[in-house]
Amino acid sequence: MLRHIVRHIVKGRDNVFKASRRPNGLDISLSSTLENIDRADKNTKGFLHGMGLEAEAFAIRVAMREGILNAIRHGSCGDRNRIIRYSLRLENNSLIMEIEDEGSGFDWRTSLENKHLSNSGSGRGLSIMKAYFADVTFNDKGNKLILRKKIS
Amino acid sequence: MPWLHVELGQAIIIIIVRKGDRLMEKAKKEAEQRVFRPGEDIVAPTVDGLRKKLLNLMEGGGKELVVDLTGVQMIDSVGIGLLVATHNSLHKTGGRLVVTNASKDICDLFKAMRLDQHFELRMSE
Repeated sequence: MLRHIVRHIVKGRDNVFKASRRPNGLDISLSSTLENIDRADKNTKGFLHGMGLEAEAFAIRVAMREGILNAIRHGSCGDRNRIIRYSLRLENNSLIMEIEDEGSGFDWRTSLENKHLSNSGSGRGLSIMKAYFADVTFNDKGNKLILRKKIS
Repeated sequence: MPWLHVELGQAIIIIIVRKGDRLMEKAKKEAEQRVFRPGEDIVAPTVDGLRKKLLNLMEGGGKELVVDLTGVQMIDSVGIGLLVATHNSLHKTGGRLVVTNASKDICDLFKAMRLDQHFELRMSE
């Protein structure tokens, strides 16, 4: 019975993509699918263009892709019905990106300390984010990524 | 002056032989080299399709794989993983991977990930 109710509630959540723009920000809710990374990227590109931040676009877009990909894989565990919330905002010459998933979180302190192996086929997501953002943190639970970088 | 004819003949033969050598060298190099042109971003949603194309290309043999990134604007950790795995399997058999026509952004990313220490990286001009 409970399973039936849950299934009923989550029905249709595998095709969510809602984007809204604020004067200095962008908010997106998306189902956990790889196709939605491309859609979020397109919106991010448009937002950065509107803000005159083309020079920073590659760094921000690639970090966004890594953050959402990690959220899909590790937070949502591949469940398309789980929603990810992504926001980007410009605040006092700083760009702040937040990506929150519905997962149970992870031990991000240990993961951030581990360095990538450059001859390994995987495990570069956090390293890429750290290469472009001065500040890479999570909330205590470990299900919300917060990236900050100064914009000159 | 018959000696002139002999020397001229020898010179022509030498030119022909050298040209033949160069053509053979070029053909040999082409046989050992494969070129992969993804033509689209190498990111999580596209990597599975690109991996299949890459495997088909590598089935034909060849020691050197050139990945031509013309038109590629974005690469993520999954795309980098594909290139590194390809490099590793080529390296095991004495082959090598060369990345050409990478944009400045992609070159900078590869350098930040120290990938330029593993395979040859050439920027687009």
